[in-house]
Amino acid sequence: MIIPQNPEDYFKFLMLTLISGGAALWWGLRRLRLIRQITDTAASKVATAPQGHVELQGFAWPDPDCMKTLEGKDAVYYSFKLERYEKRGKNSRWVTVYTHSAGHKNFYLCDHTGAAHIDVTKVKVNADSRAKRFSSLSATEKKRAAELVGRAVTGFPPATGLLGLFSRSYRCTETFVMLGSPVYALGYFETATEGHVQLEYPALKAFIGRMRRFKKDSAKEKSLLDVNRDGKVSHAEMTSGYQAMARSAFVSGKTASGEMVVDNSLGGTGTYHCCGRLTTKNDSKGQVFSGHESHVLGRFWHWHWLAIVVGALLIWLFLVGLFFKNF
Amino acid sequence: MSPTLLLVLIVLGLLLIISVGIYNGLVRLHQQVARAWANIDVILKQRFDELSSLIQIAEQFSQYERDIVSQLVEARKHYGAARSTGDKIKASQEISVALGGVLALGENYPELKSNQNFLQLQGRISALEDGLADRRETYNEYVTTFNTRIMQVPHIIFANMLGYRNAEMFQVTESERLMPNLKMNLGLAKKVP
Repeated sequence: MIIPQNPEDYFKFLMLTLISGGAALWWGLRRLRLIRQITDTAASKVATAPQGHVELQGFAWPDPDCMKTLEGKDAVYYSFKLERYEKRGKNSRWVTVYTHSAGHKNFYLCDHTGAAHIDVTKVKVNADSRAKRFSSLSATEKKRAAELVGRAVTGFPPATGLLGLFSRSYRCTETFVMLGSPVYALGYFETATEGHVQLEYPALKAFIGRMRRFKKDSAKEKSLLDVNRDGKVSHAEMTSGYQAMARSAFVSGKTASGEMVVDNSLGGTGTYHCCGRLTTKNDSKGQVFSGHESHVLGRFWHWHWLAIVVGALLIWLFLVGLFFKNF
Repeated sequence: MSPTLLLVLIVLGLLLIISVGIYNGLVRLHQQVARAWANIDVILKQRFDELSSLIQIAEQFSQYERDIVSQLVEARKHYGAARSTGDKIKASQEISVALGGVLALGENYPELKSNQNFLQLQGRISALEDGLADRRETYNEYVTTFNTRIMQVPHIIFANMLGYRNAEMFQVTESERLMPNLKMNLGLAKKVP
C-alpha cells in the first residue's frame, strides 16, 4: 500500500500531495496563460512598434561586442556557472562555486526595419543552455574555463593524469544567446523619447542588408536555409543560417586590430536605427525566447494540460486523505 | 461528503478557474483590438493634421492639376466628419488614394520633383504611409484573432454575454490597389494654364 499508516509519515504524504499538486496546477495555469499571451499578441515591426505591450521577432545583435563561449563562439548574452560535486553521503549534490553573469550586458533584437534594445536587467532571457562535466571538455574549452574562473575557486582547474583521479568533479553550465540567433520577445516597449538613435556599425549594416534582401525574396531565403530540402525552414536551420550570416558580417566589420569600425557615411536607405527599449512595466512582463513564435509554441507541446490534470488529482488526493483517513 | 463529491467539487473549481481565464482573455483581446486601432488612429490623426499644410503646398501646383488637390480636400473633410471606426477606415482609404495622386504629380512634372517643399512632402507622406501599413497589418492580425475567438466554443458563450461582435478589418480597397495605374493615367492629363 502506497499510503503510509504511520501518522507522521501520513502527514508528510499529505503535505507532499498538497505541495506537488499545488505546484503542478500553478505551473500548468501559468504556462497556459503564457501560451495564450503569445498566440493573442500580434507581431509588430520594430520601427513602427507602439509604446506598450508588444511582440517582436528578429535576430540577436551585440551591444556593442560579443562575448565568447567556451567553444570560442560569439554570444550576445552569456553566463557561466561552475559547480562542484560535494560528496556528503545521502546528501551528495552539485554546489555552485562560481558564476560569471551577463546581467549588465544588454543586446539588440534586430529585424529588417529597426533594432530594439533588450534590457536584460528587467527582461527574463530564456536562453539556451549547455551543461558539461569539466573532464569531458576539449583542451581549448578547459583552458577558456580556467581563464574565466581565474583564481576564484581553490582547486580549479582540477589536476590531470593520475592525480586527477583524486580531484573533485566539476560541471560547467553555459547559458547563451548566440550572435545572429532568431529571437522572439514579449514585453513593454518604450519608444525612444529623443527620436530613433542611428546605429553606425558597418557589420550590422551588412547583416541587415542581407536580411532585407531575404525579406524581398523569401523563396531565395528558403532555398538557402532549407538544408535538408524538406520544404520548410526549421528552427535549427534558421538558427544555423542566420548565425553564419551574422558571424561573417561581424568579422567583416572589424579592422585588423579587432576594434569595431565606426562608419559615419551611413545615410539614406542605408540607415538603421535603435527605435526603443524592451523592458518590464505594469502587467507587461518582458521575456525573450530563442527562435520565432512558431518555434516557441512548438516547444511548449501540451505539458500544461497534463500538469493541470495531475495537479487537480493530487489536490483531490490531499482532500480525500485529510477527510477520509481510512479510504 | 464523499470522495466522489470532492472530485466533482475540484472539477467544478477547475472549470471556474478556466471560465474566469476565458472571460479575462476575451476582455484582454477586445482591449488589444481597441488599442491596435488607437495606435493607427494616432498616425491617421497625424496625417490629418499635416494635410492642411500638405494641401497648401499642393495648391502651389494647382496650376497643373486642380482635381488632385480638390480630391485631397474632400477626403480630408470626410475624415474630419468620421466618427465610427468603419467611417474612419473608409475616409482614410480615400485620403490614401488622393495622396497617391499628389505623389504622382512629381513623376510627371520634373520641376516639381526638384522643389524642396514637394520633396519634404513626399518624405513625410512616405514615412506616414509606411507606419500606417505596418500598424494596419498588426491591427488586422488582432482583429482576425478576436473574430475567430468569439466564434469558437466555449468563448462564444462569454462573447454573447459581453455583447462582443466582429470587429472591422482595415483592408486595402480596389482604388488603393489601382494607385500605380492612377500615376500612369495622370500622364495623359493636360496642363492647366
